[in-house]
Amino acid sequence: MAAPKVAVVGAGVIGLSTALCITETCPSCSVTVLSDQFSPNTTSDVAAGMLIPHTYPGTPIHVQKQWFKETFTYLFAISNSAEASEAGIHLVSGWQVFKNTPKEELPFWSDVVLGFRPMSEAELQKFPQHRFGQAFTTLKCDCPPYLLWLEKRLKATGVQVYTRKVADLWELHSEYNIIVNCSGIGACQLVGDEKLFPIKGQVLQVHAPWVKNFIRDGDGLTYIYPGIHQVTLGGTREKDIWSLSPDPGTIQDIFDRCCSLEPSLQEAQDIKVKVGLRPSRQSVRLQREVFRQGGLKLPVVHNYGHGAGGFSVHRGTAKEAAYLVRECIAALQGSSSRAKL
Amino acid sequence: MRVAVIGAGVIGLSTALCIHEQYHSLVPSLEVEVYADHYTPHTTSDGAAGLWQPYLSDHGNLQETLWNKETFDYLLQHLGSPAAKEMGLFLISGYNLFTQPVPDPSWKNIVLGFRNLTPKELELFPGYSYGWFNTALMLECRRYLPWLTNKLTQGGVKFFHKKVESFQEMFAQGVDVVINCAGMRAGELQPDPELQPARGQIIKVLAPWVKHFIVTHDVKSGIYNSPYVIPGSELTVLGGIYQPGNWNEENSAQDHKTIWENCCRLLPALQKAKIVEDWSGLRPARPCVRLERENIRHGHFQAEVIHNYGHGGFGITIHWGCAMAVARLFGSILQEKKLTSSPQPRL
Repeated sequence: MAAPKVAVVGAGVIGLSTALCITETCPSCSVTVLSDQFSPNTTSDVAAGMLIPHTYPGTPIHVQKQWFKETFTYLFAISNSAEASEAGIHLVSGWQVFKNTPKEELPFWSDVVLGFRPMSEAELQKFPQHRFGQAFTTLKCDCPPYLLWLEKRLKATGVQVYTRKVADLWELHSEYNIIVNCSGIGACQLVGDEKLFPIKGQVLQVHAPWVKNFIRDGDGLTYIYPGIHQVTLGGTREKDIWSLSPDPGTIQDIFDRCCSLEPSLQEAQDIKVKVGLRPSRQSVRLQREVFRQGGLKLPVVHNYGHGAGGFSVHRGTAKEAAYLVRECIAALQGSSSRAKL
Repeated sequence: MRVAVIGAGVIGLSTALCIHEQYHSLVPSLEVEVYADHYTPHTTSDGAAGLWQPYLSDHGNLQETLWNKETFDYLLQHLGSPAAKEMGLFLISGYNLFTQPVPDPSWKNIVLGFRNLTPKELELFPGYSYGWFNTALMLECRRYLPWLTNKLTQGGVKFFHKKVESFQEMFAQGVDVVINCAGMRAGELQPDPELQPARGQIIKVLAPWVKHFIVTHDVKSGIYNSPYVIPGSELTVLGGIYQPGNWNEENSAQDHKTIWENCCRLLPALQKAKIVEDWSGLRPARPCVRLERENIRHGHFQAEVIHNYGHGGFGITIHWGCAMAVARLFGSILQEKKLTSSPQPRL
C-alpha cells in the first residue's frame, strides 16, 4: 500500500503527541490531525501539566510506571535543552503533604521523579495541619506552550492539521486507512464508550511569581503548581458533571484551601478561573479495534481515557499507540481484502 | 539620645530597625537617624540577587555561622506573614554543584531539606560530579529595602541624603552614637586595609521558567567566580564574577560574555532568555565582619562608634544576626550611660 493515511482525531496533549510518535515510528505514513478544538480550548489547556501520575485501577502498575518513565525521560531531555522555554517544559521542586500518613509511603513513581524522600521535621513545620510529607523534583508541561510546540513540530514534518468536528469515525473511512481516536471525553459520544465519564475540575490561574515550589495535598484535591507565567491553584473533582461553567463559590473555596497551604497567595493577582472535564476511566483505553459495517473494515487505534493523569503518561501511551498503528499497517498490507487508497 | 546610622544598604537599614524596635519604648529620648549618599535602588545591596546562602566554609568563625542562622530563622518566621510579599521574601530550592566531593557546609542544618544530589540529578549538569540540593530563602533588596524604609519612617526615624565625611562630623552635630554601616566605603571614614572590594557583575534576564537556583563552585577559581543562576520574583540573575581589588563599577563586556556563555552552558534552557540589563557592584570583602564598639575621643567626651561592615557577598545572609548583635552592643552603651533602668530586653 502506498503511504498509509492516518487520521488522528483530537488535538489535546494525547492527540498531538500520538500524531508525533506516529511520524517517528511510521515515517512512511501520511498523518493528519482532525479536531474541533485546539489550544487554548482543549481539556489539556486547563491542566497544570504536572508530572505526578494518577493511578488507574484497571491498568497493571508496571505498565503505568513504564508510561510515566518514558514520558519523564522524554521531557527531561527537552527541559535541559534550548527548546525548554518554547516547549513550556521546566523542572519544579516541592512537597506532597498528608494530614494522615498514607498507607503506601512509597508511590510506584518515587524512583522516576528526582530526589524523592520524606520531608524533614523542619520542612513539615511549614504545614502545621499535616503530619507527613514527601519532597521531590518533577517536571511541568505548561499549556498552551507545550501543545503549540507539538503542533509546530508536527507541521514541520508535514503533518496536516484541520479544524473539523468528527461526529462518527466512519465519516473518515473513504479518506483515511487508519483512525487514531484521541478524542478524550469526546469518546463518550464518538464511540459510545459507557466506561468513560467526566470528572469536572475547576482551577484558578493566578499571578504569584514568587511561588517557586509546588505544594500538593496528598488527597489530590488541593494543589499549588507554579508555571512559567502563572500559578495553577486547584481544585475540584465532580464526577459525572458535564458542565464547563465555573462555580463562583468554588473560586473562594479553592483560594482559601490554597492560602492555608501557602499564605503568601493572599497577595496573588489576576485571578482567572478555568474548568475542564477529566476524561476518566478505570484504565486508559489503548487498543486496536476493527470497525465493521457491511463489507467495510476500518482499523481504529484508541488512545483515550487518561483522566487526571494525561500529561504524566502522554508520551508513553503515544508511543504504544504508534506501535499499534504500525501493527494496523502490517495487517492492512498483509491482508488479502481490497486495499483502500 | 541621638543615634546616627551611616549607610542605607541592607546592613544600615536593618540595624536601624533593630535598634529602633528594641529601644524606642525603653528610651523615650531615643532618636534614630539614617545618613547615606545612596538609597535603594542605588545601593550595593540592590544588586544582590538576594539568595540566603553563606560561603562554603566559615573558616571556624562560629560567630558568623550563628548570625547566619539567626537571620534564616528570623526570615523563616516571616514567611507565613502577610508582609512576606512586600518584603520580597520567599522560599526557593536549588542546587550547589562541584567537580569533586566536598565536606558538608556549616549551614547544612540551617536550610531546609539539605541532601546530596542523586546520579540522575547530576546528569542535568555535565562537568559536575557532586552536589547538594536544599531549600533556602530569597530576600530581594529591591523590595526589602523599601519595606525597611517604610517601617523606619512609620517609627519616626529620619533619613538624611548626604555623604558623611567623618565620625567627628556626626559628633560635632550632637550625635551620641554612630553606627558605621558604610559597607564598601567604610575605609573613607576610618582606614581599614582589611576591607577590599570584590567586584561582581551580573546579567539580569527574563527567564520565568527557571524555578531553581544553581550555584556552581570551582575550588580553583574561588567563591562566586564560577557561574550561578538565581531566579527572582521577576528577573533571573546570572553571575559568576568575583574580582578582589577591582574598584571598577563599570560593566565589562568581557565579563558579560563570560557570564552569558558559562550560564548558558550550565543551563541550556537559558539560551532563549531575554537579556534585560547588566549591573556591577563592589562586595565589601573582609576576612571577617567588623562588628565591634570603638571609643572615639571627641573633645572632652568619649563618643561611641559601633562598626558593622565588611559583609562581602553574604550581607543579606547575615544581616539580621549582625543587626541583633549591634543592638546588644548598643544596649551595653545605654547601660553604661545609665539610660535604661530596666533590664536589657530579651533577644
